[in-house]
Amino acid sequence: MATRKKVLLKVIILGDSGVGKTSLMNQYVNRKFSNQYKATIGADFLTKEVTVDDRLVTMQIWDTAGQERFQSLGVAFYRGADCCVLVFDVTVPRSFESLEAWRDEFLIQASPRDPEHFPFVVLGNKVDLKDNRAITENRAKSWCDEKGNIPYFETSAKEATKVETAFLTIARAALQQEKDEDIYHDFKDAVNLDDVPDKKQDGCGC
Amino acid sequence: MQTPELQAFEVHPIVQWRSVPFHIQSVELNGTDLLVGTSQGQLLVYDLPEGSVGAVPSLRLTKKDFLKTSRKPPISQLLAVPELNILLCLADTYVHVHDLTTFTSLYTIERSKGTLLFAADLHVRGMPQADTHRLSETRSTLPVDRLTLQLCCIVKRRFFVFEVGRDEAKHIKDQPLPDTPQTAVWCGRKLFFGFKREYDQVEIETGRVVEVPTESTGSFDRLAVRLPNNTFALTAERDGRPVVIFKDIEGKPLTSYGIQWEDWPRAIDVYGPYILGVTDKGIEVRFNDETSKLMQLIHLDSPQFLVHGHTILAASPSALWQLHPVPYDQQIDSLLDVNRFVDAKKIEAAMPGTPEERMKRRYNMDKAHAYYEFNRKKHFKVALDLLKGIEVSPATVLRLYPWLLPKHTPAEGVPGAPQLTPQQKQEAIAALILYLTEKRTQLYKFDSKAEAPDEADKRKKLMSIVDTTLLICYVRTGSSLLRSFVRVNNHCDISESEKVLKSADKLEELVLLYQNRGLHRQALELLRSNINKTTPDPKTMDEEECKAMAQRRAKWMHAMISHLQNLKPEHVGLVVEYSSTILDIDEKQGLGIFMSKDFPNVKTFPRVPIMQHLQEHYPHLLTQYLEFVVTEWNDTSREIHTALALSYLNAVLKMKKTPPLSSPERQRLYRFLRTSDHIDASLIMRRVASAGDVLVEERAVLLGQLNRHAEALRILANDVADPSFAEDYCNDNYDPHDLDRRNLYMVLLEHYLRPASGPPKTQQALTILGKHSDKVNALKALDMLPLDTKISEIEDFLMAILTEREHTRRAVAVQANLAKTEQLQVSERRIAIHSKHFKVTEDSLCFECRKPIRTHAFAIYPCGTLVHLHCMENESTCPRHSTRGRCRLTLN
Ligand SMILES: Nc1nc2c(ncn2[C@@H]2O[C@H](COP(=O)(O)OP(=O)(O)OP(=O)(O)O)[C@@H](O)[C@H]2O)c(=O)[nH]1
Ligand SMILES: [Mg+2]
Ligand SMILES: [Zn+2]
Ligand SMILES: [Zn+2]
Repeated sequence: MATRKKVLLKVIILGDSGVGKTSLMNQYVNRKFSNQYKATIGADFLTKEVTVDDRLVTMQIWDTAGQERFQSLGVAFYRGADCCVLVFDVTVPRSFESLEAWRDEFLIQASPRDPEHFPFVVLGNKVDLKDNRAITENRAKSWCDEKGNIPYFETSAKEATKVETAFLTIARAALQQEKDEDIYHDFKDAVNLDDVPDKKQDGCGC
Repeated sequence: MQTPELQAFEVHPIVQWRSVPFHIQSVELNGTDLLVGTSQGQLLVYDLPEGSVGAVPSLRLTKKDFLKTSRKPPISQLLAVPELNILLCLADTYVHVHDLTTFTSLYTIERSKGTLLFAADLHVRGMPQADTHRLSETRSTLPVDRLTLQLCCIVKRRFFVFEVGRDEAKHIKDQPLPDTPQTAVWCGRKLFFGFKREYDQVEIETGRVVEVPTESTGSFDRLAVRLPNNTFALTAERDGRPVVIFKDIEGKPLTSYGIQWEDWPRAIDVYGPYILGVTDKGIEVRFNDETSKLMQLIHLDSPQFLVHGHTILAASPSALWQLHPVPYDQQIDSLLDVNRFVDAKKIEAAMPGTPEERMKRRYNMDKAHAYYEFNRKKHFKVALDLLKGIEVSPATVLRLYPWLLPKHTPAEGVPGAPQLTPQQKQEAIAALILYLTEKRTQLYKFDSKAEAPDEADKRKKLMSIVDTTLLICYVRTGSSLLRSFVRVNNHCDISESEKVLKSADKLEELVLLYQNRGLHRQALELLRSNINKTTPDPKTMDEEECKAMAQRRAKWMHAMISHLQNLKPEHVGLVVEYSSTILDIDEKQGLGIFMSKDFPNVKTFPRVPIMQHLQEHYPHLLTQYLEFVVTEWNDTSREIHTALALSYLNAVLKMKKTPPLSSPERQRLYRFLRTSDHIDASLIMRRVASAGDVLVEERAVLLGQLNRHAEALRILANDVADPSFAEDYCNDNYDPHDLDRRNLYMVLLEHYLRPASGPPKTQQALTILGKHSDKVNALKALDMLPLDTKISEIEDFLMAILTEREHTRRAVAVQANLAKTEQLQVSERRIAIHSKHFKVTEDSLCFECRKPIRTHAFAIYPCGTLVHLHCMENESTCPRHSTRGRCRLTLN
């Protein structure tokens, strides 16, 4: 293929309610932060164009509801994701302990072809609340290491700490994942062609 | 190219001229009248009854004098306009107007001289939106009195527009054109013209010319045809190849694709899902969609054009054919016979019917298609997507996988269950995984509130089937998702899953599944059996093997330990029972199960059962455990403290010879007895007493705890050499407000000064008097002293009394002042506490439900976390800091 096709990366953000998923996305895409809490219902996405290693890509960032009663996502939503971002609140131990469950849920629903190498990124958010911190950086890091060296960032959506860096890593991981998928599909199509002899051979053969 | 096998149309030759000196030039179908214009100026009228198929029409009338000229020019165009009961006819470069019933000439439009071709359309005066044309379905409802027939005649590079009536034709306008058009068609109040190199649209009223873009630059036969619903078909080219594209009345494209042809068609028509095109080869019948798939090629000898009335006709110079559409269901059946499902479904989509009928037709076709894709083509994903689309039950889908689920062998047979290669099986499983994960999401998201109980049962059963199968799929593909799957909320059938996981040696996953479902005993039993199985045996294994085995065992042990430590207090029975497995291998790790600070549940385990367990089976570990809970977790229960005292005591009693009090064993016993307030003293006392006359000091302490001070002091005064014990005892137990304890010093003095046997111990008595003058009755004490006591000997005592009295007086004064100040401080603090407040604003949210607190009753934890009272789950643990960390006061 001569032309580079336009890349759209699908990124999904998961985590307990109130950890700051919506805030992180808003900070990254719109550079805005609000102290107000408004529960996300269902899921919604924002897009952002970024340059990753000299390549312009469009990131479609899906924000989801942390509250169970607002979750209405089907498998189709998870499928085709290129990266999954797990967020917890460093001041709320419970939100850290939920990471495992979020990860399991994602893997089952998305059924990625190569689950062991599917890219996750973990964000410990609200690090600006230093006095209330309950989960140490070490503890979070060691969990991430255990799960196959998941990149970990300590962020604050409020003070825009590490948000840009974290999302750049997310974009890069997603792009890599997308490429891997592409290779897989090209390979698969090549095999399939022989399989379907009644497929038209004409058309532009360039 | 593939030969189309389908018969979409039956073809019947109905008119065939062999040895006739003229040929067919034009054809028109008006109701049941079939009008044929010949190359020699005659009009032939046949009867073609509706519903007749393939029958030769009878010739009703031959009008030789149709044209009022002797030159016999060919009749090149015919158009019936039943609304005005007229027939338009192009011959000799004039447009002639005839009566449609009698076919007699009404008049000739003189100004049409030179016409090459014409296009006509009915307009509704003053209602452009109601304009119509020959094929319109709305034809019968037109307001006849307002209809006007618009005629456009092409005369070289010019067009003329007339308004045609029964008596005369009014010239409306004429306008030059860039070239001579090859085709012309009305579109509303505009005209489409096709030239050699382009299409133009001309607005009649203004004369404005706009090019209609078709991305075609070459020169070819341009053709514009008006189809139903104001759609226009134009010939065009794509990459130099012939196509037909579709435009709306404004000339805007209607589809992104074009219908591809082998050659540019010279006539076009549409019928149902098909588009028909006349080419040199005959008539091509293609799907009218982006595939342009050729469905039937009707070989005819030089067909020229099509006529569409109550039936479809094709015409050549010497023949007329009827194209009779084969009923759709027959077409579908013949396609299904050769497994052309996609084609069949396209035809089905064109069939009429109620939604229910269509759904039923669709269901059967998709199902058959799915089986074909699965069994024959091995396109597993395509097959499952089809079955998903028609919402076939998962149980039915699973019947496609008899080799995966031996238990669910197809009861109702699945047609042609195939033999799959291992590679194909993997692909089939991969497709199934996608299907099942989608199904389970649907099932889990289902709103169970609106469900009848039996429905709910059915759904649960289905969930169990789906999840169990999914588990099997993960096992069969060796997917690492298995580990995640057993941890998420699932309905896997336990006994089935057990079998599958065990036979695949996925024991860790089985443990996780048990754990997930709260089947702790099963989980622990499995862990235990694995620990046992991985016991290194130096007799049968070499050193390396032993080491490897020990490593594997360590992993299982670790799993068991953390499982136990995560259990809830009510499962302490299990904790105790299974701790033995670990304790028997490694006492340190085993004991660690009960003494971990990392797992919050451990601290909440009931301790008595653990203590009893250790006492019974691991008595040597008991002391360590008890010491830990008493010192680290500040246990204050009577059972634990008594047990600890007993274990200290037993350690002492076990020794051959009673050690001195200074020995470490006695020291820790003595000290614990002295400091603990939670010991069952009489029980310990009995044990001590049963040991005989030893442990005097301990006995005294215990007597003290039992409030038997007189006995205690008798022992201390008489049997203990070191007087400091007696004094310590008094110090420990003295209480001026307790009737039993306030005269301990006096009792001791009495023992010293008036012993039951032996000489009085005046010296000891004087020491006590000197130190504790404030705790004795001075007069009584003096009275007890022997008469020969010298004043100098009691000088200390007397001085002490005096000083003490003086001191007390002053101390009371100071105390009075201090009390006053304290009272002030307390009331100040009270005011401060009362004025402490926490603001609940509009933005204050309940941490549990995340809704605003508003005016609901609420609770606040020390750290400031707010919850609604009705949302509060646990008064003593704040939800923010639930399991770890402490909840600290941060508000002022
Ligand atoms: N101090 C501080 N507050 C934050 C930060 N990020 C988010 N918040 C606040 O935390 C609250 C919840 O943030 P959201 O982004 O709405 O949380 P969410 O994860 O999207 O929650 P759901 O939509 O319910 O799943 C809001 O009041 C935010 O203002 C942060 O980095 N620091
Ligand atoms: Mg949100
Ligand atoms: Zn609440
Ligand atoms: Zn708290």
